[in-house]
Amino acid sequence: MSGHVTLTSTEPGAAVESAAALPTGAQRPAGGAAGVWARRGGRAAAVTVGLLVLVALTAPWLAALEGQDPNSFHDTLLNSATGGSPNGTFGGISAQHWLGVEPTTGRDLFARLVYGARVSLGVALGATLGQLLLGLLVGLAAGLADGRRGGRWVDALLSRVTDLALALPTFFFSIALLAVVPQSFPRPLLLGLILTGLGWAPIARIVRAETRVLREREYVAAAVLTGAGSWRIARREILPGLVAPVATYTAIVIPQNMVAEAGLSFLGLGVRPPTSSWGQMLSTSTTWFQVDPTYVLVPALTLLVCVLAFAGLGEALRVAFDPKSPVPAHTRRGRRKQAAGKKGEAR
Amino acid sequence: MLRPARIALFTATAVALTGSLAACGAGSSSSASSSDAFSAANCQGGTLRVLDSAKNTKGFDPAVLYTSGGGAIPRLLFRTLTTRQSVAGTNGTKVVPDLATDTGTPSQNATVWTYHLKSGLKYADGTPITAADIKYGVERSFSPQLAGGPPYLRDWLVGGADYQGPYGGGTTDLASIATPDPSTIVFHLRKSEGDFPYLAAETQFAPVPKAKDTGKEYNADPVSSGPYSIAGFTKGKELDLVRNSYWSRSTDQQRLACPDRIDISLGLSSAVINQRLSASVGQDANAITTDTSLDAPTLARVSADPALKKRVVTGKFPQIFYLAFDLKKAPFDNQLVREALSYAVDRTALVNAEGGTQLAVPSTTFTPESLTAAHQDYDYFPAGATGNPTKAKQLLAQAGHPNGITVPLAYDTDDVNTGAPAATALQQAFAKAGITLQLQPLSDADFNSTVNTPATQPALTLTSWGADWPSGGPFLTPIFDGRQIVTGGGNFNLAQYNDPAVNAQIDKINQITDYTAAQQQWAALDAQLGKLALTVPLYEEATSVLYGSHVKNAYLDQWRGWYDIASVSVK
Repeated sequence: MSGHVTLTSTEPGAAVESAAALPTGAQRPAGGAAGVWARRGGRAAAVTVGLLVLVALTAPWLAALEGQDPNSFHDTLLNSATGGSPNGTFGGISAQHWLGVEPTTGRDLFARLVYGARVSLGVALGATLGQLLLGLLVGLAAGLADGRRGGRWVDALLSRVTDLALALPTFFFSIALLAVVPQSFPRPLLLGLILTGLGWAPIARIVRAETRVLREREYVAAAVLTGAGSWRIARREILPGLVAPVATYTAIVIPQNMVAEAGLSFLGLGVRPPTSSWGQMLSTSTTWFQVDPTYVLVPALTLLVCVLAFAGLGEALRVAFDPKSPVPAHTRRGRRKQAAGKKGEAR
Repeated sequence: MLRPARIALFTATAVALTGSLAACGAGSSSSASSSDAFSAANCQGGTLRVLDSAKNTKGFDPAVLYTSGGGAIPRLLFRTLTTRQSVAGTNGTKVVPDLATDTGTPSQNATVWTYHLKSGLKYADGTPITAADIKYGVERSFSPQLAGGPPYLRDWLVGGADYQGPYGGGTTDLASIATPDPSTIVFHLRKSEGDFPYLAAETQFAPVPKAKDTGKEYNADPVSSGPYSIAGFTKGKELDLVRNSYWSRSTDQQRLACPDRIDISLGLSSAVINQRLSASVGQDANAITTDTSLDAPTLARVSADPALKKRVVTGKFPQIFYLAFDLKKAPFDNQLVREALSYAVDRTALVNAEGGTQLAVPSTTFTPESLTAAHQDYDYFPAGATGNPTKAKQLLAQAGHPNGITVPLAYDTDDVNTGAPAATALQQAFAKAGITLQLQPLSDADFNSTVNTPATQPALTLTSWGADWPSGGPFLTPIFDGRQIVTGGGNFNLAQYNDPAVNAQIDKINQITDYTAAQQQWAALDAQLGKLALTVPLYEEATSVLYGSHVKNAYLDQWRGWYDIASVSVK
């Protein structure tokens, strides 16, 4: 029902349409999840994301299926005389080691990859969730603050803080923070917290802008007239209208967070050994690209697919929620068929 | 003896920029390259390029440099009383006369050392080199504004502890260094030091003309006594050396000084250096590096290419990578537990983690095999190639830990050698014996302050040790002499081991001035200490380095495990 707000909707007309929650579903393609599923690209992205999450969840069983674990060394699979590179072709791929083994240690790459999914996806999803919560809170507070009770100051203050957070050079800031926090602090949690702390501002901005538009609606005014409190208004009247832009933005942010985790791990500031993450795997493998390309390609392609899938999902969500986007092909076809049927024509 | 190998090696190489030319004289043309054979008599000419990654080289003040055996590049600029012998192989660890006529005459139980200078020695400006200049050079190194050199002089020389150098008020002269005539210099030590000739190879023993001394500014343009002088130096970018016309092979048997010019590029990335050396295109054919060795992936690539493989030389800086126990902390106060860890260790996995057999060699002795003279083979707790977890478990049970133990392991994250790869390999091997290692990664700065301060030292540390010169003395003393325990920081006796009998034994060996005899005693001491499992020796490192296709007579000297630039030719 809340399907029609564009990401950067500033056009009152469009917003009114969405906020009024008119029963327009009949004329419009389904928004949200159904809308994503209705599109081929969205469906592929959703399936890929689902598979990746499944891999992360079932990592121990997948590794057991292969018969390996992520941390055992295999000296016998390496050629110690040539820098510890894996024996055999394609980085030592065999029936026992589906993606080959890591040079200098002989650790199984498939097991490390599936276990690495837990860290990479966990950090990315956790950080995104944190950014979402913080961004919503700040954005709503700033957007709902009104002039009567000194609210303008609240809005101004929160907005400037948001601007400040936006202006921070995120990556360098994370590096500095990761370097000063004691090594005993759990690394994945720390990564999640830092990415949260540095990435909430764009969400807050979108939420604030959207809230300011929504709160001028008649139905919100009506709620105010009935004496509803700010919290109730935020929760019951405003939040539903925010679902579309926020969901879309979230899907875009997840791959960004994943790349950030990979980047920090790449610089040696990510997870600690022997834990694997995709970023850590990529980081240790780069120097081997000429000798053992498989070793580099395994994490690189996985990251690529993952980032593409989330980006695809984000795009599909955006399109699904955008009232101006064309109706998906098969839906159109279906409707045409319906129409044709009414007219009694075969084609 | 207060310096961990890591630091000594680094400075050696940073300094190595200034390198050394060794007259191979005796016969050191080991791994010559390409076309014609190398001939020392006919090797002069051309420009040698040096591709280095060091970018913090501030300059070349002989008082401030901390080198091993004079370093690489400093040895091209500064001659010292003694120097290392410029030959490939084991004889490269020998100390030989340089400015002096011999390696020193000891008297009074090796507490007084007398040197006579050769005649006809001159600086790059044509003025003669005198004994007073060497005395002045040593004195400068005591000045607080020129700190940075090795700590031995302050410890050894009579009155050294309180001397503040020649610049300040009060006494500006160190009485324990006497110069009875312009070509004689006498050092008075407060204790017996049979290794004094090795210390006299450090740059602090290079002559500095008092009239030309500019204090802190001296590092920009030092007066050269070696075969080259500085033509241009841009910090972090490049250093150009040209011939010193007053230097002559007739007074210098250790430097061949083949190239007419030496152009040193600084601050290059190691990947770029190895790529340029392996491609060896244009000017890079005449190139070497003094601080960038091959890492495992590059080595794997080079090994697969016969043409490239020919241009790789391998050497060793005597340095041991080991596990250090704190004997004051449970459970390592119990020898059985220490033995259990010695049995559980998987040296094959460690060697692989370092990049395979070309880059590391397992060692069961604290004094590594590459320190040949002071090495005695022993393996009291045979772990085999990949560890003996059964025996380890049995010992743990005997020690009262039938369910295994959990211990922290500190390691240096910034050290590519003793860092995460080795720590992870240990963790895996120890898990099989019921020993759970909790990894405690520390950054370089944290590592040094935490580990080398007894109050904050972890129970178990993965670290390394090398000596400033190839002798068992600087190798064993800082680690096992109880009087060397420093509570304030900078402590290297990590075991906190203090046995008066061993301390007395060390004093006795220091009185021996015959190198071979002394080294045999050091070796015996190492073998005796090994029985106590005070450390778990793991492996020693090898250095593999590439050189350009036109470079000749490139070998790694065994004193430092790096190129002896003084011997390299590009003609």
